[in-house]
Order: sequence, then C-alpha cells, then structure tokens
Amino acid sequence: MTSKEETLATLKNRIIEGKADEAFEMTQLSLAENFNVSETLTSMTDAMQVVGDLYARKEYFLPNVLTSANAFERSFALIQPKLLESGSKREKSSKVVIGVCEGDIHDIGKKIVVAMLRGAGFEVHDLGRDVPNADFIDKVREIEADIVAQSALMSTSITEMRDFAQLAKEEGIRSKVKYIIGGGSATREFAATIGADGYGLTAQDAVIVSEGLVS
Amino acid sequence: MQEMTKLERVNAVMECREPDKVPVYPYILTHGVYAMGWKLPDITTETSMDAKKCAECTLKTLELYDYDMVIGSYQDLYFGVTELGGKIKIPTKFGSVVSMKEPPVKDANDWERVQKLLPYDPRKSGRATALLDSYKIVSQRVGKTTPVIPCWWPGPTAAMCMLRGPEMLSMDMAMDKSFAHELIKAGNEFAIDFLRAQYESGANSVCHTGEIYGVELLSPEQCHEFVVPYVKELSRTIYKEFGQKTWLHTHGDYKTEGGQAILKEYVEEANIAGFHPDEKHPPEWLKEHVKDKYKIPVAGIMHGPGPLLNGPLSTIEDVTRNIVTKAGQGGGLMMAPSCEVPPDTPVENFQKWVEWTHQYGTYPMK
Repeated sequence: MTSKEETLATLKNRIIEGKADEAFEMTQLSLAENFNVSETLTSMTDAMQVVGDLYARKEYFLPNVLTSANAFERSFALIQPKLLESGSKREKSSKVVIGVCEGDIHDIGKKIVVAMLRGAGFEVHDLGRDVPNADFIDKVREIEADIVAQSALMSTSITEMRDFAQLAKEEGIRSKVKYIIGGGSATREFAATIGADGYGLTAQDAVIVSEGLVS
Repeated sequence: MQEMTKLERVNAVMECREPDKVPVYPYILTHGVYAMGWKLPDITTETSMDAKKCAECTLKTLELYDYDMVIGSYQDLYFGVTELGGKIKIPTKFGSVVSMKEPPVKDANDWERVQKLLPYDPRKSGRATALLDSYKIVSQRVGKTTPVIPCWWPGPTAAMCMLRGPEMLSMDMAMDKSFAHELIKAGNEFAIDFLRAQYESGANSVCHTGEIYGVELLSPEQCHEFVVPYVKELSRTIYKEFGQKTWLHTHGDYKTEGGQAILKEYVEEANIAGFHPDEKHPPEWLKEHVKDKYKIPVAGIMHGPGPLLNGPLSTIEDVTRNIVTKAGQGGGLMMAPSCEVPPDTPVENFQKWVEWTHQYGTYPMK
C-alpha cells in the first residue's frame, strides 16, 4: 500500500477500534498531507458502516459503538471546516435534523444514530436532547431539511412526537419534510398513528429507513 | 386455598411454592407522585425531599391498586449526585422523571475530588435521608402484612447514575477498564450501604436490584466482567446481613446463547433468587428456562409502554391471562412490568391489571 492508502486504512481501523486519539492523529496527517478531504471522509464513514454491521450482528455492544462514534466525531470535527471550504459534496447529501424530544435526556441511542447516519453520508444536524418541538421546526426551515428525526426513551415523551406531527402541519412544513421516530418508547404502531413516515427500532434501521425515504 | 397476607403470598412465590394467588409487583418509582395529582417539584428538590409526601404517595398507590409488594418510598435513580458535586434536573412536566444534568465525575480530576467525599452516607444528608424516613413510615403502616422491599441498583448502574453518566462509563468499560472497575466498585459499595440503610429503616422482604446494562447494552463477556461480580457481592452481602434473597431486574435478551450463559452466572454464581427480565421474554420461556430449570421464581412481564400504558383493557386482560396461564402453574410467578411502571400509566389500566392477575391467578389453577 502507498503511504496515503496506509494512512486512510489506519484511520478507518482506529475508528472501528474506538481509538479516538490515534484516529485524530491520522486525520491530522491526512490534512497535513493534503489528501482529498472526501477520501478521508469516505474512510471514516466506511469505518462507521463496519461498526454498524458489527453492532447489528451483536459483535459490538454499547461501549464499543460509543467509543467508535466518539472517534468518528472527533475526526469529523477536524475535517468539517475543510469539507465546507472545499464545497465537497458526497453522493448522498440529504439533510437530517435530529434530536431527543423535550423532557427526555436519554440520548445514547440518538448519538449512535447520528454517527451511523453521518457514516452513511447524511448531513446531520444534531439538536441534542430535551429539545422543544419549535426548535425542530426552526431548524428544518433554516436548513431545508429532508428528514426530521425524533427520539424518546420515556413513555411520556412520545406525546411530544404527536404534538410535533400536529405542529409541523400547522406550520406548513409537514409535506416538505419526511418525519421518522425511534427510541425505547416509540413503536411502529405509534408511528403509524401519528402519521410518521418511518420508524426505526435500531440505529441501523434509522439508516435504512432514511435511505429509503430519500432515494 | 385460605387467603394469605401479602407477605405470606410473596414469601410463597420466593420459595417457588403456590401462593393463594399470583402477586403483583408493579415496580413503582415515580408513578405514585402523579397518581396523587402532584408534580415532582411538589415532593423533591435537588437537595432534599419531603419524607411524608414520599410515604403518602406510596401508601396511596397501595390503596388505589391493592398490589402485593411495595418499594417504601418515591425513588429515582439519582440519589447522591448532588452531594457528590453533580447536578440533577427535577422536571415540572407531568409524567417526566428526574434525570442527571451533569455527572459528578467528568474527568480524572473530578474523580480525585469525589473520592474524598466517598463513601456517601445516605443516613446523614441529602434526599436519601428522606427516602429512609419514608421507609420508616410505610413499614410502620403496612409492614406487618405487606412486603416492604429495599430497592437500589448494583455497581454498574449505580456508578452510571451517581458518578459518571451512561456514555462515559460505557466508554470507560471499553477504553479504561481499571477506571471503570474503580467507579463500579464505588457504586456497588454505595448500593449495598443504601440497601442496608433501607433494611434498617423497616424494609422486611426480598431485596430488589435492577441492572440497566444487562445483555441489552453489554456483550456477555462485558456482563461477565462488569456486572456479575458486583451483583454477586451485593446479593451475598444482603443475604449474610439480613437473610434476604435478591430479586434481579435486568434488560436484554436472555434467550440467546450468550444471554443464557449470563443468566446461569446470575443464578449459580451471583445467587440471585428471582429473575425479572424485560418484555422480550414470553411466559412459557420463563417457565421452562428459568423457573423449572433453576427452581427460582420469575416475573411474568406486562410491557409497560405497551398495553399497560396504552390499553385497551381487553388487551391487558388477554396478556395478563396468558402470562398467568403459561407461567403460573406450580407457583413461583410474580406479575411485573417490563421496567418501572410508566409514570403516567392510567389508573384504570393499572387497577384492572392487578385485579385480573389476582382473578386469573387464583390457586389451585385450572
């Protein structure tokens, strides 16, 4: 392998292994060596695809996925300005606004979904946790999102999802954005009752459903 | 069969004998607050709680639902956080639960500081003292006939909730195992002492410990390393000091090969004497693979965020009858939700669930 191939392969492997410092070093090296930033990003997203597969096959569990997602996020933050500067567009550049519903601070699952979606090439705008519905609406408008994704672990928070679906209609954006839900308290049946376009039980589901909605 | 007291009923189940009827353990943490028409700030602040109100809402749920095994106070998962320098959030919205805004241990420097505050004694300060006072009130009122159980989470979950937060502790397990063990050990020491204090305050029955990680979030190998040893220490200490068995609530699929291996360790190594999994476990599986195999009682699971919360009543009745019929033969069955009963569970759903469990679960079973 050439030095460039070796660096990108090492970057990919360090993300899979969850070694954030070493992945960060490889990302720095890729920038210092002026690698095409899209190629660096591809190595990183390929790594998260592998992590997603390992998670789906129950070979990776929460600690492994979180460390990989952390490594991905740190390296991604490093190349993000360069990506914007170069105007680099990946094949898939659909925009997703994501967050945990107001009143709910459980966001481990959402963080995994964010990493997986970024790994799959989506442009993800993560609003965090305990997010009011109005903030989702504002962000969808601001970036002209293709998908808005809400997560809730607590049973009480799923009422926020119902409220969001209604608010999105009232605000005139519901027909312009696909709406998906997930999290411990959401179900496929509930998604249907509030007219959501998709439901995901797992992080992998979120990617598959999102890809299906924008394809 | 002659009607038993609730204490006799639960004791029969814990010994895998037939009680007069299948008991219900609804695992109430926050629901009682909302059943009273209160909101959380009515009962707790970040630093103190109202012990009388904790007891009042607990006793109110017993009156409303007539279930069989009671946790002696309002509880959430974040006792000790404020005392160790973290921050919690007390939500005002109906149905919400207390959460952690900022863990006490964000980095190594924090850990050095927090270690100087450990062990945190729940008898001396903070919201925990009110919880213990509530146990005293509840056990005085109903303890002669009703199991008043202590409830706290073993090392990994205790460390997650009191010290480090879920993400960072999970990453520690992968990247810095010795640090993870230090935190979990501290969590377990607090858990054992808090349970001890609850017994000292009037708890009189089986010890509930609930493990959030389980094989849901950890691999069997990670469970073997980070969960089983601490559950073992907890259950053995409680048995040694109070002669009480430990009832384990856990998450994840224990039907898998790896899950079954951990289940075997829980029973044979960690001495758990009651298995309360989540909704992934049908009653017939629980009967065959846990109750009959290991001769320990099981919880038949009503999914909280499913039928219990959303109904309809006909589904609650069907699910209840199915659980009792499939897993109740011969005794050793407790009816329970898949996790904490949802805080906003409708009163009628809850009442009917208990009523139908007692009705269909009357022994001798047909």
